[in-house]
Amino acid sequence: MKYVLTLTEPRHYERWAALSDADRQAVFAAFERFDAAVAERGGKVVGGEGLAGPELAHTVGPGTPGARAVTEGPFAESAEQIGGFYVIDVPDLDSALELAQQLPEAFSIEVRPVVDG
Amino acid sequence: MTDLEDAWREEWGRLLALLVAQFRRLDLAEDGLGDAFATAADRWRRDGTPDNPAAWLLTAARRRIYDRLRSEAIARHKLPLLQVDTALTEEARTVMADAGEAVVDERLRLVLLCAHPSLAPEHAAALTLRLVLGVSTADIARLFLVPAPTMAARLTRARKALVDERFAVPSGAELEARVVTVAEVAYLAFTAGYAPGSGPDLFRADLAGEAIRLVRVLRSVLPAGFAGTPDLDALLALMLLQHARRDARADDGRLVLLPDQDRARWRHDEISEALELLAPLVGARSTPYLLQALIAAEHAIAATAAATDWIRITGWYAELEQLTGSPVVRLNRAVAVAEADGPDAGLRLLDGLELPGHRLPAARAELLARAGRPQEARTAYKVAIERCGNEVERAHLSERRDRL
Repeated sequence: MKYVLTLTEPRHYERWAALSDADRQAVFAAFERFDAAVAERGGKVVGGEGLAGPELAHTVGPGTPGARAVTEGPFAESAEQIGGFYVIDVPDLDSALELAQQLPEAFSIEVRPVVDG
Repeated sequence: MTDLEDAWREEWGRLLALLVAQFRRLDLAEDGLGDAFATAADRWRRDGTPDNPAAWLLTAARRRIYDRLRSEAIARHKLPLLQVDTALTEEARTVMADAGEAVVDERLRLVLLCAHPSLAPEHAAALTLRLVLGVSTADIARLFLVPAPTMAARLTRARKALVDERFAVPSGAELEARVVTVAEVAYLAFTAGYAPGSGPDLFRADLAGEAIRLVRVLRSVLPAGFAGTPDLDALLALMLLQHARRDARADDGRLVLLPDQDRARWRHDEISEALELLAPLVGARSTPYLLQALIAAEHAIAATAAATDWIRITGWYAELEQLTGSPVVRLNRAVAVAEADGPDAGLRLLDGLELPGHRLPAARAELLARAGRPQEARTAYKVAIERCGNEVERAHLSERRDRL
C-alpha cells in the first residue's frame, strides 16, 4: 500500500532556520532512522522531497486556461507549514503509522493512502 | 550599477567564504548564495535595498541552505564535507546574527582552496572566477571560449576534487606556494583575456579586468608583511600597465601594435597606479613579474614610441631570460634588441630558437622585412599565418605580408 506522509509544523521554516546545529543533526538522524525502519519492514521509500519555504510559493487560482489568477504566496496562509513529504510503499496502515513515529519530533504527520495504492 | 550588482561584486566572495566555513560544502554554499541573489533581485526591486545588503543576503542564503539540507536528509543524499576547524565553523555560524556587524573576511581560505595543487591550472582559474569573484558559469564559459555545459561539468569536477580538502590557511612555505599558484592562475586568466590564443576577439578586456580584480582581492586578504606581497604588487603593476592600453590596441577590429598606438588613449590613471606600485620595488630582488612590469613601465612612460628607452628594456630582457630560460622571453628580447641595435642583431638572437605557435615566425618575418630580405620575410609570414588561431591577428599578418 502506498501512503503519503506529510510533515507539518507550526511556523516550521522560521524555527528550522533558528535551530542549533545539534538540534538540526538530531532531525537528520531521525530521517535516517525512518529510512532504516522502512527498509526493516520490507517497505520502500518511493519518493520524498523537502519543500522550499512558503515565501517562494505561487498559487495558480481556479479558472480556465489563461484566465487563472497567479498570486505570490501559498494557497492557505496558516501557521501550519508543510516542510516536506514522503511517499512510502509498506504492507499496511499500521506499518505506516508506526513508521511515522520515527520522523523528527517537531512535525505532525498526516498519513494518507493514495487512491490507487 | 544597481545595488544588487554592487553587492554581487563586493560581497559575493566574502559571503561565499563565510558560508563554506559554516556549512563545509562548496556546492551548498554556492547554490544557497546564488538563490539568495536571485531572491534579492525580486525583493530589492519591490521593497527597496535593505540597510545592510550583506546581512540580508547572508540570512537569505543560510535559509536556503537549511532548506536544502533538510531536503537532502529527506531525499537521502549524504555528501562529504570539507575539513574546517570547529571554531571557525562556529564563528561563521554566528556571524551577522545581528545586522550591522561587519562580515569576517574568509576569502583568503577560499582563494587558497581554489589554488589547491590537485587542480589543473585552467580548472583552478575557472573555479576561482566562479567562487571568489562570483562570475557566472555562462560568463566563464564565454571568457574561456568553451560551451557552457562543458564549463559547468569542469567546475563540478573541480568542486568534487576538493570535497575532502582542508578549508584553512596553510602556513610558511605552503602558504607561499599557494599564493604563487593563485598569482599564476590570475596571470593565466589575464593572458587568456589579453591575448586570446584562438577565436574571433583580439582581446577580452572583461576577463583581463576580472583577473586584475582577483589579484586585488588576494593582496587585500593576505596577512600584513607577507613575504610574497611585493611580487604580487609587481604582478598587479604588470597587469595594469598592459590593461591600460586596451582602448588603443584595436582600431575598427584591427590590431594596433605598440609603436602605432595612440598613447592619449591609454588609461593614464591605471598607469600611475602601476608606477606607484613599482616605485618601492626598484632595486628589489628581480622576479619575472617585476622584470616584465619594469619593461611594461618603460613603454608606459615613453611619450612617443621613438622615445622608448630600448637599451634599458634589452637589459631587463637579458636578466629575465637568464632568470627564466624561457624561449618566449628570448623572442621578446630579440624584438627589443632589434629596436636598440638593428634587425640583424635581433635576427641573430632568433637563430636556433624553436617555439610552437605563430609568434616566432611572425617576429622573424618582421625583422627580415626590416633587414631588407623580403623573400625570406614572405616565407616566414606564410608560416606565421598558417599557425595563427586568432582571426584578428591573422588578418594583421596577411596585411603585413601583402605590404612587402
